[in-house]
Amino acid sequence: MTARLAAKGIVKRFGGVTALDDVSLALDQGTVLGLIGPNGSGKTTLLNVLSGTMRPTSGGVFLDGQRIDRLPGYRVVRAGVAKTHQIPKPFPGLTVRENVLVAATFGGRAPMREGADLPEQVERILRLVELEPRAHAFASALTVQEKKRLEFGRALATGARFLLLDETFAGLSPDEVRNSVEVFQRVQAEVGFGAVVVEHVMRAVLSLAQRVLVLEEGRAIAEGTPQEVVRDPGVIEAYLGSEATNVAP
Amino acid sequence: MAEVGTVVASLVYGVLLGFVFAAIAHGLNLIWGVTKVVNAAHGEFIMLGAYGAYFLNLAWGLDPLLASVVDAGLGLAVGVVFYFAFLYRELRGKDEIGLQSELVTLVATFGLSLVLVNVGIIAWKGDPRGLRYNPGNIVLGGLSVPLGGVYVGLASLGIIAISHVFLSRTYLGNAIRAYSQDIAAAKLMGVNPTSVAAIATGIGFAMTMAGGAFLTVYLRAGITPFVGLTYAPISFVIVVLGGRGKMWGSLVGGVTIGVLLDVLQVFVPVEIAYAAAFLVVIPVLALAPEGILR
Amino acid sequence: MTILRPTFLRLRAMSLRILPGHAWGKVRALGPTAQGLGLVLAVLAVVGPVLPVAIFVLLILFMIYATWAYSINLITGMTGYVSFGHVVFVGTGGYALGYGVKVWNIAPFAGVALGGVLGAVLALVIGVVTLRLRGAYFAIATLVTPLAAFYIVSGTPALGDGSGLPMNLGFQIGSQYYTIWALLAAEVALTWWVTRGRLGLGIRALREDEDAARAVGISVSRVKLILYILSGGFAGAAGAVFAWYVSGVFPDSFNLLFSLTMLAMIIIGGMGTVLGPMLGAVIVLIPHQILIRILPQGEPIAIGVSVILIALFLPGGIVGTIRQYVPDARRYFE
Repeated sequence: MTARLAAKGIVKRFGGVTALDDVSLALDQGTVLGLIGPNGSGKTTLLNVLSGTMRPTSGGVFLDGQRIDRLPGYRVVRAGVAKTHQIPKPFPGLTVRENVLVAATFGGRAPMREGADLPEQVERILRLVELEPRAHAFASALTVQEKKRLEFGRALATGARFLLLDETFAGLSPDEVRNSVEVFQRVQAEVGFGAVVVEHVMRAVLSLAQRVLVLEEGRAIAEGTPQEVVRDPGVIEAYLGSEATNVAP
Repeated sequence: MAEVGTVVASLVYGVLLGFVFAAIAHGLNLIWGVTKVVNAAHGEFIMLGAYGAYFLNLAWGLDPLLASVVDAGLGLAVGVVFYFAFLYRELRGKDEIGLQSELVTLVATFGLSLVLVNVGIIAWKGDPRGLRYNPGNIVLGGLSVPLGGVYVGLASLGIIAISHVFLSRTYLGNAIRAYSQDIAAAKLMGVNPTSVAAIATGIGFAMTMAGGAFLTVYLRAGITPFVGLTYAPISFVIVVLGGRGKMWGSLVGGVTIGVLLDVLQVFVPVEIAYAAAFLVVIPVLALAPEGILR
Repeated sequence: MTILRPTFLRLRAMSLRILPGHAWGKVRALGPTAQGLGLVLAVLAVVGPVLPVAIFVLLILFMIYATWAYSINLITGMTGYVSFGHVVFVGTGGYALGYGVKVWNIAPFAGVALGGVLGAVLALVIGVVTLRLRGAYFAIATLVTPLAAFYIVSGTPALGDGSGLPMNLGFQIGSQYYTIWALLAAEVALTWWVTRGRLGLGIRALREDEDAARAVGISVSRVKLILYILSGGFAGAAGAVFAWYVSGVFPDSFNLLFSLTMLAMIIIGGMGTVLGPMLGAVIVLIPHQILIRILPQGEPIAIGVSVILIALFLPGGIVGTIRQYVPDARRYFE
C-alpha cells in the first residue's frame, strides 16, 4: 500500500495577516506535486506547516491518516516527512559522509538503532546524489550545487517517504538545473518517494511534477496537471502573466 | 498621605536614575544593534568612565558633567581601537553576522572583562572611592531632590537625544543605520562597512564612558573595580527590555528599571527589588524577545 | 608519531597487563583519552591518602574545579550555549548543603546529594525557558540568575541574610576527597559517553546547526535540556562539596567570577572535548596556587589574556588546536 500525505483546510494567520486560507492538498508516495505562485503567496509557509516547523491556525496535516501537525518538528521527520532548506544548511564542521550519517541515524523511525545496514545505506545515498568523491570533505568546503545535493541526500537519508523541497534549483545555472533535475528524477525512480516541490524555475517544475497546485495570496486558485494549469486563464492572469506563452509546451 | 509622598519621591528619583541607566545601556545598544555582537566587557568601560570622572575631579576639580565630555572623547578613541582589536577579524567581509561570530566575540570580550577588572584592582585597589560633588538640593512640591542627580539625569537624556539626532539627520548617522539594517545593501549604497562599524563602536563607547561618569553621582557606596559586574547586567536587561537596536528602547528600558528598582524598594526589601529587576528579563525574553516596544 | 607519545602511556600499558586478556582488550578499546583520564583518576584514588595533607587538601579543591569545568562543558562545550550564570548552581548546591546540615541535621553526604538534586531541578526550571534563546540572549538570561540569587539569599533570614550559613563540621577531608572524586569520575565517564558514537555525532550536529539538526530528526530541545539538567546537577553537587570544604556558604558563592573561571577552563582546554576540561582545570588552578601569594591579580589577567587570544585565534582551545594541526596526535584525543 502506498503512503499518502494530505493537508486539509489549512489556515495560517500571523497576527492580522492571513498567510494561508483554507488550502488542501494530497499526494501519494511516488508522485511529485509542484507548488507555484507569486512571491508572498504562502508557498514557504505551506511547506513549513507540512514539515511541522509551524503549526497551522486551523486545519490538519495527515500522514497515512495519522495527524502530524501537532508533533514537534523532529517527530515529523521521524514519521517520514523531511524538508530541505532553500539556503542549504549543512553541518559545516562535519564531513559529507558524517552529514548523511547523522540523518540516517536520527531520521529513521527507530532513532539510535544499531542497524548493521547503516554504513551501506549512507554509501548508497552518497552514490545516488553523486557526492561519493567528496565523502571525506568537510561540508563547508562544498560548492553551492554540492551543498544542495547534500541537503537533498540528507533528507533522503532520514528515510522519509515524503520530501518537501524548497526552491532546490534556485540560484543554479541552466546547466546545473538540468543536471540536478536529472539527478532528482533518477533518485526518485530508484527510491520512490513522494515530493512537494516549491519552485520558481518553471521548466523544472513542469518536467518534474505530475500535478501542480497554484497559490495566490494564501488561496489555492488552481490544481491540475502542468498542462492544465498553465492554460488556466486565472493562473495566467494571476501569476504567469505574459510569460505564459513561453512556458506552455 | 506620607505613603503616597514616598512613592512619588521614589518615582522622581527612579526616573532620574533611569535616565542615567539609559545612557549607560545606550552605548551597549548602539554597538549591539549595529554590529550584531555583544561586548561582554561593557561593564568594565562603565567602570573606566567612572574612574575617569573620579580622577578628573581629583586632579582638576572637574564635576561629573564636564568629566563626561573628556570621558566621551576617550571612549571614542578606545572604541575604535576595541573594534579593530576584537571585532574586525570576526566581522570583516561578512554580510550576515551569524551565531558563530556572536559567540566568538562574546567569549573574547569576556576575557577582556576579566583582564580589566583585575588591572583595575591592581591599579586602584579594591576599596571604594567617593567623588565629591554636591550642588545642593531642589525642593519640588515638598520633596527634596539632590540637584546632582537632576543634572546628570538630564544630561543623560541630552546625550541620548543628541545621538538620536545624529543617527537620523546626518550622513554618517544614516550610513550607520543602513549598515545596521542590511550590510549588503549598505555596501551597494557606497557605505564602507569597516569604517561605519568602527565609528559606531566608538560612539557606543563614548556614551558608555560618559554614562559611567554620570553614574558616579548615584554610586553612594563609591567606585570600585567591581562596578561593572553590577551595571553591565543592568545594561543588558535594559537593552533586552527596550529591544536591541531600538534607539528609544534604551530610554524606555532604563526608566522602567530605574522606576521598578526605586518603587519596589518602598514595598519590599532592597535585595528583593534588585532580584526582581534582574529576573524581569527572563519572562520578557521568553514572551517578547524583540522588547516591550513595538 | 612518536613525539607525542608520553612515556607514562607505556608504563601504564605494562602495569595493566596484569588484567585478564579480555578485560585488557576492553580497556584498549576505550581509546587513549579515556585510558589516560581513567589512569589519572585511579592514581588519585589510590595515592590521595598517603600524600601530605597540604597537597591532599589542594587536590580536593582541584577536583572541585575540575567537576565544575566538566559541568559547564556539558552545556556550553557540547551545544555552544554560553552559560555566563553557571555559578547559580554552585551557590544553590552550597546553600542546599548548608541549610540541610544546619537546620535538618543531615549528613554532609546527604547535603551533597540534595545540592545535586536542587541544581538539577533549578537547571530544569531555567532551561525550559532560556534554552529557546540563542547566542547572546541565552548568555544574558543565564547571567542574571546568579545576580538575582545573590540578592535573594542576602535578603532571606532563613539563609542567614547577608552573612551566610557558617558550619562546624570538623576536619573531614577524607570523606570530602572521595565524594568529589566519585562525582568527578562519574562526570568524566558521562562526558566520554556522550561524545561517543551516534549520540556524540548527534550532539556535534546540534552544535553545528540547530535547525538542520531538527530537520534530520534530532530531538534538539530535549537533548539540550537533558545536558543542561545534568550540568546543573553536577555543578550543584560540586558546589555542595565546596561549601563542605570551606565549612560554610555565603552569598559570595554566587560571585560571577566563579562562572567566568569555569568558562575560562573549558575555553582554554577545548570546548566539548573529553580531555579539555581537565587540562583547563590544571592550567587555571596550578598558577593560581603559586601566583596568589605573589600577585593575586596576575593569574586572572593571564587567564583573561589567554581567553582573548584563544577565542580570536585558536577557537578549538588546546585540544581542538592540536587535533586540527597535528593530525597524527588526533587518536590520542579520541
